[in-house]
Amino acid sequence: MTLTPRNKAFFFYTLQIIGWYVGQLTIFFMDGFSSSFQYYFAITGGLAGIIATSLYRIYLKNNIDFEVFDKQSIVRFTFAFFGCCGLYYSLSELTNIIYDSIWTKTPFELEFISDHDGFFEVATSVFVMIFLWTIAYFTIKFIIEQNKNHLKNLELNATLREAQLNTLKGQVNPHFLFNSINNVRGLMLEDVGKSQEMISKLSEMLEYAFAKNTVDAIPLCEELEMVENYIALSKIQMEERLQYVEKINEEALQIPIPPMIIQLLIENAAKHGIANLKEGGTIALKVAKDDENLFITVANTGELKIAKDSTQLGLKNIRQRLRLLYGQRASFLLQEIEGGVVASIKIPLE
Amino acid sequence: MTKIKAVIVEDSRLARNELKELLKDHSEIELVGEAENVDDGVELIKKTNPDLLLLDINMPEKDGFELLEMLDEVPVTVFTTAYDEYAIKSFEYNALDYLLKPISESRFALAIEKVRAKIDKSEVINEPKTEKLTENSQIFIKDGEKCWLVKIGDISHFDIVGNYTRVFFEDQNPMLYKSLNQVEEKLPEQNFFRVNRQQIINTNYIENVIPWFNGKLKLTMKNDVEIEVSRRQSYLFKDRMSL
Repeated sequence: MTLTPRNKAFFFYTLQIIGWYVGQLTIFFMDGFSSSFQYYFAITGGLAGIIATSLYRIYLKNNIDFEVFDKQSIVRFTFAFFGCCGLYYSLSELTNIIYDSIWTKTPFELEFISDHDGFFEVATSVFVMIFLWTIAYFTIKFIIEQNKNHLKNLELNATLREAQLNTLKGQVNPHFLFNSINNVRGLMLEDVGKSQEMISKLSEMLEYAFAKNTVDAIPLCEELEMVENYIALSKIQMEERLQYVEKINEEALQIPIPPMIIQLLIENAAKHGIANLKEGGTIALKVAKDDENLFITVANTGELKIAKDSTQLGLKNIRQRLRLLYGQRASFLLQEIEGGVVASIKIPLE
Repeated sequence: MTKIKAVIVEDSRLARNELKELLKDHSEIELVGEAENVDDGVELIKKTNPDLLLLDINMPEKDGFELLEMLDEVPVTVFTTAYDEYAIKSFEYNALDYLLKPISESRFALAIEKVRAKIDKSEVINEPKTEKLTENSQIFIKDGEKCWLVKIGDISHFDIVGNYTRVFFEDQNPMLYKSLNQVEEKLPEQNFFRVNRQQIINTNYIENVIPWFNGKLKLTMKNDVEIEVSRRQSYLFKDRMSL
C-alpha cells in the first residue's frame, strides 16, 4: 500500500491527536485539581501541542529538502525547531491567561503552578517535548520512505523483467544475422537462385521476429516455418556439418504455442552443439501430443556444457515464460543422453 | 616486388570464397592456403610461413585466439568476424586489427593498406625464415582477458615465474604460458642474453653496466629496472659485449 497525500494527512493528524491527548490524560490522575482545571488544561494543552507541531511540520515540508541536507537546511531546521518551542510555550501561556480571566484557581492549583512556573523549568520541558516529537516524526517519515522505495523497486523489477522478456522474444542474434548476410554474399558467386531464396528466408525470419514479439501465442506451424528458415540459413554456414531431421504430429500443427521457444532451442542446439563440432552433427526436432499435453523435444549431437561466461539468458527466458503462461502445468528439461543433448518441453493443451 | 603471402582460416566455405573474391583486387597478395579449422590452420601456417593471416574467431572446437596461442611466431593478423559484441570489445581493448562481416571492398582495401605498411616497416618478407624468431617476429600473448601481439624487438626482458614467463615490454608485463627455457630456444641470439637463471634480457635495452661484487655485473635497463648478471654469465657477457 502506498500513502496518497490525503491518506498521509489523515495518518499524521490521527497520530497527533492520539499522541498529544494520551499525554494530557495524566492530569486526570492527579488529585486536588478542580474538574474545570483538569478538562480545560487537558484540552488546551493538547491543542497547543497540535497547533505548534502541525505548523512546524508545514514549515519543514515547504522549506527543507531532506535529500540535500545542506548548511542552509540546518539553519532553517534550527529556526523551525526553536520557533516551534516558542510557539508552544506562548500558546500554553495564553491558555493560562484565558483560564484566569474566566475561572478562579484554587489555592492548591495556584501553588502547583507557581511550583512549576520557573522559566527554566518550563523551557526545558517544552524543549524535551518538541525534541521527542521531532524524533518520532522523522522515525515515522523514514519508515514510510523506506517502504515506498521498496515498493518502487519491486515494481521496477517487474517492468524490467517484462521488457526483457519482450526483447528476448523478438530477438534475432546479430552475429547470426551478419554471418548469414556474409554467406549469401559468398553464395552469389556460385548460385544466384539459391542466394535469392536465402534472402527471402532471412527477411521472413526478421518479419517473424519483429511481428511476433508482442503476441503470447501462435500456431505451431508458424513457428516451424521460422525454424525451417533458420536451419536453411545455418546450413549455408555449416553446410554438410549440419544435418536436420524432424518428426511432427500433423494433428499438432494448429495448436497455439508461445512464439520463439522452439526457435530458441534449435538456435541453442546449433550454436552450442553443432557449431562446436569439427565433424558436425544432427539436430532432431520431435513434436508429439496426447489428450492433455504437447511434447516438444530438440536433440543434438554433442555434450551438455554450460560455458563459464554464459548468462543462460535463453534458457532462463524459456523457463520464465512457460511459468508465467502455464504455472506448474508446463515443464522444461535439459539433459545429456547417450552422447547427445536433449531439451524437452511439455505444454498443457487448454 | 615480393608478394605478400596470405592464409585464410575460416570455417565457412562461402565466407572463404567471399574473402578470395575480395583478394582478387589486390594482386600484391598471394593466397598460399586456406583452412577450415584451427588445427588445420596451425599446420598450414607452420608449413607456409605466411606474412598475413586472415583469421575468423568463431570456429568449431577452438577459436581464433587459441590458434594464435598455438603458434610460436604470429604473422600480421587481421581478424574477420560477424558482429559479436564481446569479440569487438576485445579487439578494441587490445588494439587488434579486425574486419566485420560482411566485408566491403573499401574497408578491405583499407585493412590491406595497413597490413602492407606494417610488413614494409618490418621487412619481414625479405628475411630468410629460420627456426629462430627475429627482432621483427610477432608473438601472441594472452593473459586473462587481455591479449597482445608483440614484436620481439620491443621486449626488454623476460622473468621466470614458476613454470611460466613474464614478458616486459612498453609498460606491460603479461604472463606467457611457456617456460623460460622454451622461450630462450626461440629467441634470436644476437639480441637476447640469459643473464642468470631467472632472466633473459634484450641487450638493446641496456642503459648502463656497472661491476658488482664477486665478479658479477649489474645492469640498469632503459625502463630503470635493475638486473644482476650471475658470475658465470658475466664472463660470457663481457666477452660478447667486448667489455
